[in-house]
Amino acid sequence: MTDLSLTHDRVLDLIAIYGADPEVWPEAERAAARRHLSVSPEVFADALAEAHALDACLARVPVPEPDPSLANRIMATAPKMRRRQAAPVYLFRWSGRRSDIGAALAALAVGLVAGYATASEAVDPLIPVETGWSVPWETSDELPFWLKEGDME
Amino acid sequence: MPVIYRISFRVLRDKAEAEDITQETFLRAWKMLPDWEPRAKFSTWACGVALNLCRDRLRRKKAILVDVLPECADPAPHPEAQLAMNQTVERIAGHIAALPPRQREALTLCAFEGLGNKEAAVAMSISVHALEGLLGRARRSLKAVLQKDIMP
Repeated sequence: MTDLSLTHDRVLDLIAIYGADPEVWPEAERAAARRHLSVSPEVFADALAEAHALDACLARVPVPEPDPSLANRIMATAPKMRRRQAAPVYLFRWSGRRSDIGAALAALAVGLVAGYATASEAVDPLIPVETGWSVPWETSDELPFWLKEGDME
Repeated sequence: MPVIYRISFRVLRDKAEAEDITQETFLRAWKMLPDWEPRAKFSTWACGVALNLCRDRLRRKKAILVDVLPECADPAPHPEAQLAMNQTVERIAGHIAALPPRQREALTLCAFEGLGNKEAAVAMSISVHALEGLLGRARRSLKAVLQKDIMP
């Protein structure tokens, strides 16, 4: 039984707008749209085939690797890291408190930003630093995608 | 490679400029972090900053091409480089580059980088409805030209 909150036309729109992969369709409509696809596959077959062909074309267009120095240029503009005399605060905090998790997150973030630089140029993120600020994400799951090297989740 | 770089490259089609935009976006992020208030996802904000910087670059390029160097507006790549490149991929990339900038931005955020529709709309400072309009027009245009050119 199909979901009456979604029409066939809207499912065709989703295919035309977002492509053939239901995983990239709006989350709020995805489940209902999938039900339409499973109940009436013949209605959407042509649209899915066309969208899939276009998706395949788009997937062939590469992005060249950035210059290896880019990571260092970015890190060079980051707030300066200084050693403190006492009570070091880590670059990345965990809910406002110093913790090993915060340090690990710092390692992950800095490592990913510097990931395409050479290893010898990498910053040691576990060195206690004073920054005076924390970042707006607190768990590794929340690490901003724009700091990640791979595809977004 | 950072998503911000990929987005910038796909919008500008220029590696050096995409690197500049990535660096500038991070620079703004560092400056903004101490005062960050979570009105939006930080990642969405960063995408928005990068897109705005890309738009500035495109506007400047257009002004130069129109006002100063109209005779240099030939976008054809160097013949030797063209020979070395995969011609099919280049044709696809060329068709994408020929899309209107806002359609290209929408396609970049959603089709290439997988942003959700709400997040992409916020990054572009438009409604979800408007975003879907841009995406739909972009895909229709590409389908039309690629069906003639490449797709079976």
